[in-house]
Amino acid sequence: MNQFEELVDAYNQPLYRFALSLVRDLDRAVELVTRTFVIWSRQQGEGVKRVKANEGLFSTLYREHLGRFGSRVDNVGKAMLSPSVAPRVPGDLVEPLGSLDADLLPTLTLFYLQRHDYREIAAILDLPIGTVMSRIASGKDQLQERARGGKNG
Amino acid sequence: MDREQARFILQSLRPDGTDEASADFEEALGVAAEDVALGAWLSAERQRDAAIAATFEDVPVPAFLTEDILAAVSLEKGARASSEDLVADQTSLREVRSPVQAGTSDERQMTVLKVEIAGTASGLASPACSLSFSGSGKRREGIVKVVFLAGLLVVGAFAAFELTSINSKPVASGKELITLRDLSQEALAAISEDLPFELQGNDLYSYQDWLEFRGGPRFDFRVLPREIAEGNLLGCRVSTIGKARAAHLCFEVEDIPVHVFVVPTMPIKGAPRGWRGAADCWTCPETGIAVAAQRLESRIWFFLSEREEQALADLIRTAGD
Repeated sequence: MNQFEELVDAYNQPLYRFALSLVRDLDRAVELVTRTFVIWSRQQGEGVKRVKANEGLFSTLYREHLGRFGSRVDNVGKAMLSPSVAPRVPGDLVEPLGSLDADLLPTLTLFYLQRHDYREIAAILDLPIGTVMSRIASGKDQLQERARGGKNG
Repeated sequence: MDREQARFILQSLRPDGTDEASADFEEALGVAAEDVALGAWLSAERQRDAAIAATFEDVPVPAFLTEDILAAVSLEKGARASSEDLVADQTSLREVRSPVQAGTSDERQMTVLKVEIAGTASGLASPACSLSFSGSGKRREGIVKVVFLAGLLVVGAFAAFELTSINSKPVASGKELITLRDLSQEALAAISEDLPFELQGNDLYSYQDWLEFRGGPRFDFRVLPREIAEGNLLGCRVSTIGKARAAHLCFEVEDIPVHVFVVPTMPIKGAPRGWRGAADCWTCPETGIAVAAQRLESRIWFFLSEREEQALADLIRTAGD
């Protein structure tokens, strides 16, 4: 196994889970992860300044997601899902954070994947550290509220 | 730091304990250690977080993901090698252009010599020479510009160059680029051998493990054209197409066999950039077998049948429905 294959082996699963959380579609998630590695490989080939794979791959995937699937970023760096990528969740898709607001989803997904601390999450999503902390707090509150609502309903 | 401030900070603490040694959380953890209520909240919070984190570990990851990634990266590297060749070609063309613009007859003679040397070198050794002069529009446009600048003498040299280049075999950085038609021919040859199907039966989904065990490509049977998937599956074997392991399945659809080959993707000569959309459909004049080929995402699909070409094209139109 060469160095690149080791990288793929180490990161394809968490990247896929992050991608799936963002796009809510199995095929798109595979495509997004594949593109991420293609871009990463190209950057290494072009001698682009090497950043840590643990941050760089997730950051590449997130930027690719914003650019490809009709998403956009508003003026405060809030990721918005356009109507064209409104979740179309297949029946068998497991998505733990599916009920979260779209702007909280990337932060919470990275938090629960547990591969990055909040500073690294801020770097990946290109957000201020304080914003990441407050999104983690808001996201957790939202999950608890919805869990309570689910129990009551 | 008060309780609420500590609570806010501790919400960013990862449940697996990785962050406990971090100075960022030291003070907040200290407050929680002394505040019983906050400590209880933190304990419950970490349990809840751990439960949610565990659900991510349960999200299934497609078994073919690694293979798809490596295939796509390999394809991209092939395309990159071709574009690097283009740069090399343009560099040699610039070398041609500057003496031509000077315009003396002696210099023109030298130009012809240079072009001939460049042509010979490219024709025999340059990886992309065939692409340059018989395939790529951009490269052809570049050549046309040089021809205008160089005048009739150089036109003659280029004509000779082009003639020799077209006859040379395309070789890209030691890796031959193959056309979809060439690969189809290999599939055609595979079915003409009439080899037995090692696995027979009609349970499509039991075939995945069998194929994988024999080094065949994994693929999603749901993307098979509906009418073919609903046919009678006669059998399966692992074949070799374009030096890659291929799955060869045979279905009987309305009493006529349809052979399906699934091959991991590879760089295809003349295909659009990226890995979508390359397609070819033709009928073998010797056997009368219609062949349809598609490169979609990370797989290349070949469908072969003794049907009319149009009937085969209609049959596979339902692919991915």
